Amino acid sequence: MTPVIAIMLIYFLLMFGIGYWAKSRVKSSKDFLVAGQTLGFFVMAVGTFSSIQSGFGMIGHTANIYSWGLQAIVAAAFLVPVAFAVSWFLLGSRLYRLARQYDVYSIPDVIRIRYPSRPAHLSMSIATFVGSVAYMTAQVTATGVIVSLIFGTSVTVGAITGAAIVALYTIAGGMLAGAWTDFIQGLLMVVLSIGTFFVATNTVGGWSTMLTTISNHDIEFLQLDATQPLTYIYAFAVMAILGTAAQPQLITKFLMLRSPSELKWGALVAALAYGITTLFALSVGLTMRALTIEGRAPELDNIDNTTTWFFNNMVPPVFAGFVLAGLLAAIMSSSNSFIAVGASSLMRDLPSALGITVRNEVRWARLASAFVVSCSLVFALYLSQVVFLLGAIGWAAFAAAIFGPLALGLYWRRATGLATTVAISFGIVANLATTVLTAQGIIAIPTYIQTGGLVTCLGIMIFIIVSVCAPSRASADRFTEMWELRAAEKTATK
Amino acid sequence: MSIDRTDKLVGACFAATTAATVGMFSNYWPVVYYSIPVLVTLFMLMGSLDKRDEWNPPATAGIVSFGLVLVLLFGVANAALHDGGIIGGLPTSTAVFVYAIWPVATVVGPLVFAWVYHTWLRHDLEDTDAQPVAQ
Repeated sequence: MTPVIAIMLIYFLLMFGIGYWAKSRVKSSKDFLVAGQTLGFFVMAVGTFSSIQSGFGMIGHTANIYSWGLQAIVAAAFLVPVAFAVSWFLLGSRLYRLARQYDVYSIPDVIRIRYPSRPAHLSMSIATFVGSVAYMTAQVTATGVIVSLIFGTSVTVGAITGAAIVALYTIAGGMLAGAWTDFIQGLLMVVLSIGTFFVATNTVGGWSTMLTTISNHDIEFLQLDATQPLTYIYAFAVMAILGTAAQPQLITKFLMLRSPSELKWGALVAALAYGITTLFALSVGLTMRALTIEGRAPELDNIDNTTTWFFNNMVPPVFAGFVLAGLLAAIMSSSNSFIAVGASSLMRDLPSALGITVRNEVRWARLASAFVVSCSLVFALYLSQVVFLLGAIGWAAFAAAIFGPLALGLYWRRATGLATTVAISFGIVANLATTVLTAQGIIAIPTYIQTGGLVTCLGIMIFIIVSVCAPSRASADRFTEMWELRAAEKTATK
Repeated sequence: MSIDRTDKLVGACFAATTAATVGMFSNYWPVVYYSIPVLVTLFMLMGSLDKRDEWNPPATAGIVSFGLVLVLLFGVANAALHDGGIIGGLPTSTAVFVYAIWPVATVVGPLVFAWVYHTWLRHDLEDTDAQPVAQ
């Protein structure tokens, strides 16, 4: 047994151990879907960052830095930490209060309580289910690649193995297992990112030498306007910031806190952890560029191989094993959140929106979790056209669909159920349409337009416009009822 | 319904988002660029409203100061684009992002939240029930 395989087996055993521990504690849907509202700030914050920092954040950003230059990390990651502060500001106190006043376990639950509109509740339930399966499908594909690299299997076997492992501990322990595995996986990602930063930069003589090597060859590579238009780069940053505050895996974590005091330091922990893991892509991407300039690495035709080429060729196998475990952790930590979110949509939110009462919710939540994983596996392995379409329903679709109705809706009494339904529909349809029409060659999007950023902003604008142009007394009254305490206090003050 | 503080904030967010959208369509990047610190500040201000939709003046001043620092740093990075200077091995504008904006976004923004929460927002939640400890 190689050291790499030994490390991976220990890692898998740890995940199973947490799943087994959590299984014995899951007694209700509240335990399964929101970890029984027992999380402290450290577990919650590390779990939140790790579910946001997906495989794309580690491997995809590395590839983009290697290809585009430093502007790639400015676009996608440097400003995300401030998004954690924005999220804690906008969502922290208000979602905590809602979670204590009502049985709120999911985003559609929040929409159900905020807006007296069945279409809004139903559309959000469908959007979160479809979005969760979409995310899971991408994670299953990435898991297949990493597991196949480690164990030397085919990608198909790797995907099935990886999905089965995540499914087992999530089905057993729900979000209680998910939150704690996210926590362990997040810590692993932080440690590996720090180690990778020093190992990678030392390969080319350290941070300063690496930058000198690159700038002597091509200073443009380090400029903010290196290869991609600046409009594209900053639109990407807008999407990254607003999108972070609108991702279900982040929002639902606020419903899991055990007490209000746990809110205070969460944003700092999550932002620091995310910032540290950015070092991974920053160092490996730039190191690979310096190695290519020095002639020690080939110019890669497929930039997706940037990370794997570096760890296959430039570091000791044991360290590479730790890194692969960390990358798998990044993928799995996003996966289990989406299994729980998707399961919640399927067994709780959709039936509730349709007026159906579900008994024995834990059993149905487990079955729904298995269904989400099965759908993702089938799509990832056998239906490439579906994967293509699902790929369009990702970060930006959630940003356009959720930011207005949820983040603004918690504060703004004029926000309406109709605007919610329209914003959700727009978020999904606009992303799907641009993806399909561009791929078919029917439309050509200029290189300076970053579709995700544009759809995100348009989604927020449409939400505000529809709310103002088609006001709803019922939605405004519901807002007052929802913050009942506030109304009572205002009356007392008068 | 009368126009209240939240309406004004939503209006300002709408204006900033619209400006960013126009910039994205017309390939005028400075508008998209400066909409970032503006939107961050507006959303932080919105999030600092308590349950009676009121602000705490010191907390508001802290958030506005943070926003001004962000705008200033964005301005410096913009002004230094193509100035030919090198700081810490990077072109000046990139260096401002790597050595200033990134740390400020990572550390100062969340610290502002911790401070505002401790001095202001936590009072909203004092009447909510705490859950049994499992961590």
